[in-house]
Amino acid sequence: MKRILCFLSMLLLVTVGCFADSFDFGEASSKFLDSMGLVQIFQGEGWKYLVMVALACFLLFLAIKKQYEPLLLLPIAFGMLLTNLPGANMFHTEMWNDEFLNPASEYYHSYRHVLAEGGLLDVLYIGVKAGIYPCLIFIGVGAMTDFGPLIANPKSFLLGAAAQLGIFITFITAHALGFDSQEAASIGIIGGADGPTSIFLTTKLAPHLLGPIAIAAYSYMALVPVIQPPIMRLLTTKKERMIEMKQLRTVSKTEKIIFPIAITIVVAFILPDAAPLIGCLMLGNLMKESGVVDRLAKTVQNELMNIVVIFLGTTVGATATASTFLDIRTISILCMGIVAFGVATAGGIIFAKIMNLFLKEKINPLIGSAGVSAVPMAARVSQTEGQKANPHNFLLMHAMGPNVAGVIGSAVAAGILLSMLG
Amino acid sequence: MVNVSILADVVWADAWARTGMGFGVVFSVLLILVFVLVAFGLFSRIKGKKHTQAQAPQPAPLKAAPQAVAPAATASDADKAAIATALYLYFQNVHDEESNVITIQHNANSAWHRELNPRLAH
Repeated sequence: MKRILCFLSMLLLVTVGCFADSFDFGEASSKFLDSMGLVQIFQGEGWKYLVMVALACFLLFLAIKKQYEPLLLLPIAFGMLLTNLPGANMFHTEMWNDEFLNPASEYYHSYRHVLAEGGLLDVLYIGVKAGIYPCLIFIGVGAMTDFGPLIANPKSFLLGAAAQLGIFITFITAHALGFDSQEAASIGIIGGADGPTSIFLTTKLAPHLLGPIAIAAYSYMALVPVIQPPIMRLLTTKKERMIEMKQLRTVSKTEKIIFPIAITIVVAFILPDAAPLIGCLMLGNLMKESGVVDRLAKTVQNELMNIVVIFLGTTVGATATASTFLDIRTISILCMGIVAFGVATAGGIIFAKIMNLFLKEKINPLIGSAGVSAVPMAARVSQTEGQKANPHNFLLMHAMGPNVAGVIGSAVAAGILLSMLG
Repeated sequence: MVNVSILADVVWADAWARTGMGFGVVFSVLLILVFVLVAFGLFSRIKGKKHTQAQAPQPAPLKAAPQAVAPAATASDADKAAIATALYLYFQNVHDEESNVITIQHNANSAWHRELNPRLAH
């Protein structure tokens, strides 16, 4: 045994001796140290990585501990963590910004280059870039949505439209703060309180703002129960909040089947740019309501939706790199997001009060606030606030009307912004 | 000063025109959808009414009781309340639990017993 060990040590010494000229231990150690993420943090603007990692951990805390929209916030936060690990190169921002989006580059709009040179997150990001994921999510959302309350009370559409005021007021505000038209439209769409729509429009108009806008949209959607109630109480009297509404009529199956087909045709004829979102939403709904493709309906509600959410969340989070996120503009986007939500809520409530001036059967203005999408959280907030004022008040189904109208409204708003600025 | 220059750079007429047009189009599209749904709702209710009338039994001439004219599928408010209460009690688990075991009490003096055992008949 001793002889074998002796022989091996001799062999090692001879090998090291032979390569001693070409192997520089100091250089190798230096290279290794330079590649270490820990060292990169202390070089140049490396501190930004640290801030982003801390921010990602905070978002993970909100998703796991506070359960704020965990289905999306968790993958978004983890994608953000992955992309900000120094040296890991999980996502190549420069490949997208300097090559894919640069008309002067030879790789302008070249998905082949991304597939050949990109990493996992780059490849998955193609689905975001091409606007595929939001549409697929909309199929799932459609399959999970009951448009019955909206069909029973078509006036709810007007409340859904009024709540889109937030989008357009924020559009003007963003303009005033120095954002160009495309950026302002992408920021404004946060007021639609609809994550997939925000992502869809932003990838088309201002892809460099995708990270902050997606995070603002999903964070504020989770904060709807915190943002909306003070505005609701401020804009309504107790007497108004106590208004009890008549029970909705029963909607026939035929109406539920014809609804998605009719909406798709009408919206696509008027606004073809909204067709991808509205078409996918209504396709999912038709699968559910027709009752003849149960397997497909279940698949889009569960498997497809879950897979796409993982891809979308992780890749959108990955776009929030230190260089793009840690910017004064991000802070203004986050601030304007709150303004957008607030104005959207106020728009719905005020319009409900205006409608009450003309209606024989008064509506409870609290259901107006559900006109921001955020299904079904905004409707639940209306129900909670209504019951606080009057324990016999059951507003949930009445609020679901404006709530799902808000989904259609924000998709239409995205369509018109895309047609004007795209 | 910087803010002032930013505000001056914005083409306000353009921005306001886009805002007005955008919100106007959203409102108009959804208003059209309201009309579509209202028209469709009216149509379907009229069709539903005709269908119900066609299915309802022919009213008997004068002598028939008023209940006979009512469609068979409709339930009175009292029936609905009873069904709702039953469902509520069912979901609250208020009902008694039955063992589902059927037991037969043996009675040697019953007529059946004598029939099955002829020796005891006399």
